[in-house]
Amino acid sequence: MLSNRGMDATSMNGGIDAWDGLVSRAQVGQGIYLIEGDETAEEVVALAYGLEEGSRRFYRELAGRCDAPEVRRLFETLHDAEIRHEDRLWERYRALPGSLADRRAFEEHVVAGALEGGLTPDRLLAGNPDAGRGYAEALDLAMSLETDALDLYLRMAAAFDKTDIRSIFLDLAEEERGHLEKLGALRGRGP
Amino acid sequence: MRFMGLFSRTKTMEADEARRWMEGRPPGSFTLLDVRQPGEYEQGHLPGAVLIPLSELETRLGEIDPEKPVLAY
Repeated sequence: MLSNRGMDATSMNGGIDAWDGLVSRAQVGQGIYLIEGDETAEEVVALAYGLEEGSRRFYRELAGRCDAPEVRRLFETLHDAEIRHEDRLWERYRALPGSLADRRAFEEHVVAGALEGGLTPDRLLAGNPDAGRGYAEALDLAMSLETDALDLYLRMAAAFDKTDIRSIFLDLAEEERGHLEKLGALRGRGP
Repeated sequence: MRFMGLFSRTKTMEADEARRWMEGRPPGSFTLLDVRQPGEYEQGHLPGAVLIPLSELETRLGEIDPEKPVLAY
């Protein structure tokens, strides 16, 4: 059908059953993953900031739990990377007309509002106090988080196509892809 | 002949090749299309895949950027 309309279309043989890689289970149109494409720039930047903060806390918590030193060091590196993502998002927010001048006020009001009712990664981890202690389990948890983040940012970029917001999410998606490569490399070396 | 269009074959690639194809392209430079049902999509989908169930594809073709290559599953 797509080819008949002149599109450059290719079908993946075997579908998802043949896929031997990570899959995202981020749900369409629910809670924190609700994207309708009509959100304001402020709303989407705030949502992304909130997710990055959730990821930052996730890595801080996981670094504290994990028994494997090499994995712990990677989680600390990824924790610091999330802070840089937040810094970048804050700068994008500040460039918006009418933005708050105080970062704490932005976090407490704008970001909190965007995340209302949503389950961020750190909240998920808080509900599982024994999760993520072992080498493989910790990395698998982190890879699951990054896969969902990659998925979300790519879909956000697609939803905001033809706008300058798109570049925010493409940049973040590229970073998440890099995180996945680092995690995958460590996972591949372990038990 | 007119009827040949009905039998035109879509290009295909194996999953490993699809992975390499995607990794070699910047994010956002192609459309990854999931044509299954919402329930299947929520149980697991390739990161970044846009869901348009096959039964809706004809009426929702306008949602797909015709300038970008599409990889569907």
